[in-house]
Amino acid sequence: MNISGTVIYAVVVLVSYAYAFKKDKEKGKKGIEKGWKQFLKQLPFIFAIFLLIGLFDVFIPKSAVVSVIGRGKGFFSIINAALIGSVVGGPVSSVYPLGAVLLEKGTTVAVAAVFMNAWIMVGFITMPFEISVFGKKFVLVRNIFAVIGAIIIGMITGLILAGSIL
Amino acid sequence: MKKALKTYSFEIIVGISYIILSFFYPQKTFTALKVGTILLLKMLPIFLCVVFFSSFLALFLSPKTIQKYMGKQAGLKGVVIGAVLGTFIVGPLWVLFPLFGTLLKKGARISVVGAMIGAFAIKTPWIPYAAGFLGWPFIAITVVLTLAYAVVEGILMEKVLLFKMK
Repeated sequence: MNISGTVIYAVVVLVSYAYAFKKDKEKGKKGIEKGWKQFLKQLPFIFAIFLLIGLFDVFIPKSAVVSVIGRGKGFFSIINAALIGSVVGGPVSSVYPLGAVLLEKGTTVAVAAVFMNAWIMVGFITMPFEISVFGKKFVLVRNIFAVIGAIIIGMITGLILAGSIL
Repeated sequence: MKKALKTYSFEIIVGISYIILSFFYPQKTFTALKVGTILLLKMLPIFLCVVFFSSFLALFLSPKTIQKYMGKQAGLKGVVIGAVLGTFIVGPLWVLFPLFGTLLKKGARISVVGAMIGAFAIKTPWIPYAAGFLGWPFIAITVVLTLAYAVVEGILMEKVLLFKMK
């Protein structure tokens, strides 16, 4: 983890709250309370996620990852990454470290990016709820565009960073 | 008790996995625990920043403010503004579906809401966190591409949906 990033972020947060307290003291206090509550609420889950990533890192052999979404499998890996990312869902806090582990385990940049994009953009598990709010048509169109976008964006990311769309 | 079991089902599953695995592979399990815990500790400062920044945005950037900028007369500019605002909204997608649904009902254009949902994949408060795992180039490219795609996605979604309705 880069320390400068953390420091900059901490400064941004401090400035936001300096503004908040100046503008509305009660609301500022409420913000801190709300943030702290969120932190405590999410902490067990975050901890469990990181422990799971620890297990994944130690127990899942590289070959298993490679055989499903590894290098040299071309478009097969991209499609698999999009599928897995779409079906599996979870908080964003877990997807970035998972992406980093995937890269370590031997996937290409494009595949890891497609996986993460699909995870964030497509909500398979929450689809019934989404339909209840927007209706079937909207949700179908949105998620199709999301999958296509996840793949395109991931492939371009791979092209720029690693010189390969696969 | 039952409720606690349900709420923490994921944490419990991870915990049980650890207990079972520690019987068969004590050494490896301990390594996994160490890897997970170190990752967590490294991420904790930025995670704290995320929750406090999120609660700040939630309190001081009200849905009303967002609503103001995306009326029906909004052209491409509205779509772009929608996309940019979408990056600042925080929280799980499913929590926000009703908000987006309200916007649609209140007369926001499909393209604006579509772009917002698309851009929602960029989680501004999480960016430094993500960069900690994947590096800044990766995140910068993803953010730019996702934002551009969100605008295209919004416009295309509106075209497809309105076409089908006729």
